[in-house]
Amino acid sequence: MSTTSAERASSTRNTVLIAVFAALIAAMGLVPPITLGIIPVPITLQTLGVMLAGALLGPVRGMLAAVIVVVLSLLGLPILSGGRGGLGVLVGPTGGYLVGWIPGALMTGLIVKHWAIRRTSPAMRYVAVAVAAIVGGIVVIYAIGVPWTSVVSGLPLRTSAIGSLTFVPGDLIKAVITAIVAVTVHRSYRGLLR
Amino acid sequence: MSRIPAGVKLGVLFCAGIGLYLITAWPVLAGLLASAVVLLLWTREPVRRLVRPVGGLVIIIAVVVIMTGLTTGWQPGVIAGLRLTTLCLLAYAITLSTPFAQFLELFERVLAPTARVGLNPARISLALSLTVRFIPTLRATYDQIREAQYARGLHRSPLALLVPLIIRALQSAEQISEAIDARAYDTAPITTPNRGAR
Repeated sequence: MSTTSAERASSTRNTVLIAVFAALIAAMGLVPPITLGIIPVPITLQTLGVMLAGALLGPVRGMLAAVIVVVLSLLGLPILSGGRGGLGVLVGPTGGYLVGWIPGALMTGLIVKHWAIRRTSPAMRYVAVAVAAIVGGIVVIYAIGVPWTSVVSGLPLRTSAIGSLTFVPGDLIKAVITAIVAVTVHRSYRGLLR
Repeated sequence: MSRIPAGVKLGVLFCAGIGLYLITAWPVLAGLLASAVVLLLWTREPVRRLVRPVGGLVIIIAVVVIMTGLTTGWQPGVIAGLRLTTLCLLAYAITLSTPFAQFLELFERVLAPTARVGLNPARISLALSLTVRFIPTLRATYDQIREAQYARGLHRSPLALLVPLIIRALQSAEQISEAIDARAYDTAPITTPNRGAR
């Protein structure tokens, strides 16, 4: 297989972009987490990073950025919120929310790239990117996190689902922030999604 | 414990993860939990530094035990708690006794066959190490932007912090990838000797 220098340059650029967004997701874990009441999942900015990675880099690169964060944290780097990390996270009750980042970023990226960013009216574009962030960053992640908690801890699925509702308001705010930031950045940095 | 190869330790953790769910007698589980505690202490990590992460884990598991106890019964609650604590302590002991570089090495070895399906292990490990390097850089950029926006009275607006942070991160990504190519970092085979200016 032969590679031209232009292809190689864009391949290097993709690698670096993926690494930058993986670092962004990780750095958002440095902001101290807030644990809400009795639910054992801390609120963090990290899912904001996951939504942004999908919305700004598109499905494949966004997903790879999430993969890198998941891999690095499982290898033991304390990059999850509250300085967590290591294989214990995966076998713990919140492991599904972490693994869910990967399809979450993919889904956000797919919707943004193929639908949301192509809306012609600016207002509609904001709404569409917010929808992408909600579907990828909330629906997909919870769809994995909720059953995971109930399998690992033996809690009934219903209890686990009701418990997770506590985080929906915070995650909705993150989706709105994602929409505003992503549309603004795409406007000044065109061609990011190609 | 740190002399045991990382691959073996991960294999043990994987088997423990399945095995623990096959055991339902709580005295056996309690005994296994005790051995996980011994393993964790065997890593010779100072107890003072174990308090915070283990304390956080205990709180999470206590919540799970109480909620299971209230909804389905106390015995399944205690059993679930014992299983979870054992597994998490075991995983934690493995993470503590294995240097990050060793995991990275194992990772590259495991990934080596993917070269045949078109992936590039060298590129993957470049991405992993770049990420680790970028975290403190982004943090420093964030602090700078926060100070600048504080001066403008904008430090409470997430938009005024995030947009410049991401734009700057994208710009440095461009610069860094040009620098990597200029140094001909060998991550992809190259056939054309002359490189067109962009």
